[in-house]
Amino acid sequence: MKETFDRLYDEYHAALFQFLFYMVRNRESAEDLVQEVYIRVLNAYESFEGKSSEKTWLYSIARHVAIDWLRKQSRRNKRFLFFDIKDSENVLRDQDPLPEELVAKKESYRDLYKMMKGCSLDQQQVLVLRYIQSLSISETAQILSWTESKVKTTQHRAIKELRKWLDQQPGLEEELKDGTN
Amino acid sequence: MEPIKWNDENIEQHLKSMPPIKDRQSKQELFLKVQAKIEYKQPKGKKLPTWSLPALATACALVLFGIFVPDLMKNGGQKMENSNMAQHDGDMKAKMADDSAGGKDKNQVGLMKTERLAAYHSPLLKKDIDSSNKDWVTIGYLDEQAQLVIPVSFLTDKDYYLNKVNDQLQKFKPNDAGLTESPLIKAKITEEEETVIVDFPQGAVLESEEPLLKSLISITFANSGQKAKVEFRTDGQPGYEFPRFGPAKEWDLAVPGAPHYRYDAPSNDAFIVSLFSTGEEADRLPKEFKDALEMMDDEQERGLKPLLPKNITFGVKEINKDYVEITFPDSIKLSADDTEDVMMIDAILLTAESYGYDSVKFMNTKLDTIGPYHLDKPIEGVTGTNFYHYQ
Repeated sequence: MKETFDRLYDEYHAALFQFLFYMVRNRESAEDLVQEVYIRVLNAYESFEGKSSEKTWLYSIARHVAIDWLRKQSRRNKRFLFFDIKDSENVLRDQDPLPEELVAKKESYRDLYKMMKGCSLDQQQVLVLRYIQSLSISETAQILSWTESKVKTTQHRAIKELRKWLDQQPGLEEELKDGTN
Repeated sequence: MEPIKWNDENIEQHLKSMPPIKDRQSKQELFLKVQAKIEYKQPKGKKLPTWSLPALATACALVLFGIFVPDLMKNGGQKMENSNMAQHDGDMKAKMADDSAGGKDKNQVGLMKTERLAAYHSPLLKKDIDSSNKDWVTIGYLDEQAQLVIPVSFLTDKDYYLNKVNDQLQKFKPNDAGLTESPLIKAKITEEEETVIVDFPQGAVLESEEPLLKSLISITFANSGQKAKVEFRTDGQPGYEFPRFGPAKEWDLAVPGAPHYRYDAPSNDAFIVSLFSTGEEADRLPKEFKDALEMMDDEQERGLKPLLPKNITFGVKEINKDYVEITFPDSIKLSADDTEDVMMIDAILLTAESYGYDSVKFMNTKLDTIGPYHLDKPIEGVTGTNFYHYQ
């Protein structure tokens, strides 16, 4: 088991953790969830049939772990939303602290990160896989069990949605002129 | 200064340059945590030889037969008609026996005990579904009086959620379980991201089906937060004209936390059903799990019966947002073999799950196991409700 873990860790850990973090937006939760990913992977490793690549298989497991967690959070939040907060007020509310890596970046990155939460879950997955993780359309489609055409459509809509939210944000002119950090 | 607007290109560039976030756990630290959890979930033990697996399954079947036959005799064979209802499908059962023999944490005893309860459809544990490489789906059906939505779960092959719904709507015959058809069978159902699109032929929804339609659609499409909204169409055109509600284009979907009760169908099938299944509005349901638990010893309208004994108080301690401890009072004497007791535990677990608790630890039960559950550790991953197993 140690040998398999070591190899998977060396090859994929940074990317898997990154994916989990940008999906759940909480470092501590991502640290817990990545353990769950390895548990599922190591338990199922012998039965991995190689129908997909190891990389997309790992992402697919990480995605399921993240979605399970998000649905749980969603159910929990809805129990309060029913009584206290309107959905619209909650869309961009991010109660988790920003990680230092993002705090050190320019405001435009922090805004973009914040606005990603305004996208649907499907859109967020595509944004993370396609751009932050730099995966191909084909790899993304395999991970999400979608057609490539659905990935493209969702990607297009996600960028449009982000743009809508970002256009409502003032004060980024100078930064954008400077270029990216 | 001219404001510079965001465009697709700089959004994409920014996304590609988002900072990498690093795991603060070291490789070794992470491995030790993962190893500890794997060992905790798979207690060490000598693996049984392969030939013993079929033998064990046969032995279990014989034991079951021994338990089952006197019961059937006593009830004049009445349960025989329904016994097929609780038969887990062959693959699943074989898998359970297989895993159990392999020393994994599968409680085949509990599952077999529920098999004994000819008409009770229990939930399953997620680890058991995962280990059998299956998937699941829950669909809302109506009771015979169209007064309740009864959620029925099915084991399926892995597929898109909507495909699973559409397949089971065609495959399952609700009359076999004392239920009536879902109005959704009359609709063409498609999806667009987190919206499900339900396209009815004009006049398809009966007036009697209308009051519970929102609960039924929520239970079918939002039981685990799968979809957030339903959009109605009539023969492809936006909106639907309901006999009572009038015109509707879309509804938000959510299944709120609610206390759970027993419902006995005329066919003698027993189901566990949330108070939300009566069409109760979310703001009239208890906000907290503890309050829901207190309501679970009350008789409810529409044939919902309590599974908790009257006038008892459970200790409820939230350890964290995912984990709750429930302490049984000394006055309750549970029996590991008692159907009602297994159903009581299931009802508490489903209620806790509906309030967002993934892990439930029962204290002071004076039992090691009940049904499929080990009571010496937190119970996690209760999945679906009222599983129907095809023969």
